[in-house]
Amino acid sequence: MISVGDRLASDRHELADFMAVQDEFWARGWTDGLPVVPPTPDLVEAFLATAGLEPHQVVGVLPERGREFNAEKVAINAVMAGCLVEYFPVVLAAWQAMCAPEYVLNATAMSTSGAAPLVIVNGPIVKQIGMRTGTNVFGPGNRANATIGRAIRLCLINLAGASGPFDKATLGHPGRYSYCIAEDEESAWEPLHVQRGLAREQSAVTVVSAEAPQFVRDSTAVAPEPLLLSYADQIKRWNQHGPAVVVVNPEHRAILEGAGWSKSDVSNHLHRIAVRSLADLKRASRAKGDVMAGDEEKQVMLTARPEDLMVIAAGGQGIFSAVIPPGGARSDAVTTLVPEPGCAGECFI
Amino acid sequence: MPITVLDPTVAPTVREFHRAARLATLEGTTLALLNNSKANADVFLDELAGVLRARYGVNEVIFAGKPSSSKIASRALLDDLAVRAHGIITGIGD
Repeated sequence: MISVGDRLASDRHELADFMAVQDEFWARGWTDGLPVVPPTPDLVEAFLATAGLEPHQVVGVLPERGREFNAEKVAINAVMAGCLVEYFPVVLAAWQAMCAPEYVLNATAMSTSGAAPLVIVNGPIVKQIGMRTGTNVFGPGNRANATIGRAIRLCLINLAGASGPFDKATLGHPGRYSYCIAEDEESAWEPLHVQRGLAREQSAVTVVSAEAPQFVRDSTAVAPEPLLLSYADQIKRWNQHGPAVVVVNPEHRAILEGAGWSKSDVSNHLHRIAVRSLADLKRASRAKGDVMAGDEEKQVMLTARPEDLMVIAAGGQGIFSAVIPPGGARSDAVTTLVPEPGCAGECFI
Repeated sequence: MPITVLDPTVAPTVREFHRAARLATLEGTTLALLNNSKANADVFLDELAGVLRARYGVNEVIFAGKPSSSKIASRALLDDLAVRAHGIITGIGD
């Protein structure tokens, strides 16, 4: 008779009790510094069963580090993060997205820039697993948002090896503990995954390598143009080009949607107005060289393309929205389908 | 009560590889310098090329580069340099 967990290939450790697990895992560099749920064989098997995956099924590779990731290892890290079994398909989808070559996982995970993968979840799965889209969307308190984001960080540490001497983040940022939100699809705007070619009834994860959110406070604007000046004022300080996120709260959305502005209208407008003169950039040491004649008139765009500004609806009542700068490393945003919980393994591969 | 837990890590798979024969001398050789495309790498490598020529008698220096410091050099680029140069110098860092 095969008992639970016998199919699993990972090395086993028998430890005295819960606190011994914490001490051992921390000492081995297997945690983010917070306590973890002990990844027991029965829990890991339950996660795999929910996703309909075999332990050895490969769900991603990282050629630069000579690593291959199977479902068992991702499940172990999802258990450690505190995920419920029904969150596991979202974790898998996010990890698969990050393993796409265009995401440039190795550099984004280890770079001095200290960026973190921002995971944005769309589609029916958001309500099915109770994700937060509104008030305090980036903040603590929602089990799914918190643990899915944390699972991704633990995968980076334990699977990609982005820890210890290999994680060279000069500062890092708080989103490197957990950075996962869901979009508010009650908005009149087209959801992000639909913009990226999927159907509204499909569930999807989009990963974006990103710096920490910069808040945009605007309580006075009543029309799109003056409102977006506040957003552009933050974008003008960005450090590098690449895909970025603009998180628009309901009050600001009411202004934009009320005036008939789509997400694309917002992206195009922000791309156009987020400019600084070359002279200004030079004075701020953001461009090389001394200020020359004509530099005051030369306008430099702070974003490379309008489509780099991914506008999403999220957040609660209030006057604060956010812009989230690109993480750099020439990383592209990647969107992957999330199968319904209980879907068979072929949905992932 | 004891708890059995699973190792959450993945070890790299190290493929078998062989080191190329070391050069006995740099005198008269052709060397390739692979720029990682970080800021000022060109300045550093220009200086290095001068030192290699003046102090070590390197005959020719080929400058090559990657499109992004974040991505690995392509197989085609490395194969090409392997044919054209006796040795390649590259590095990592800012």
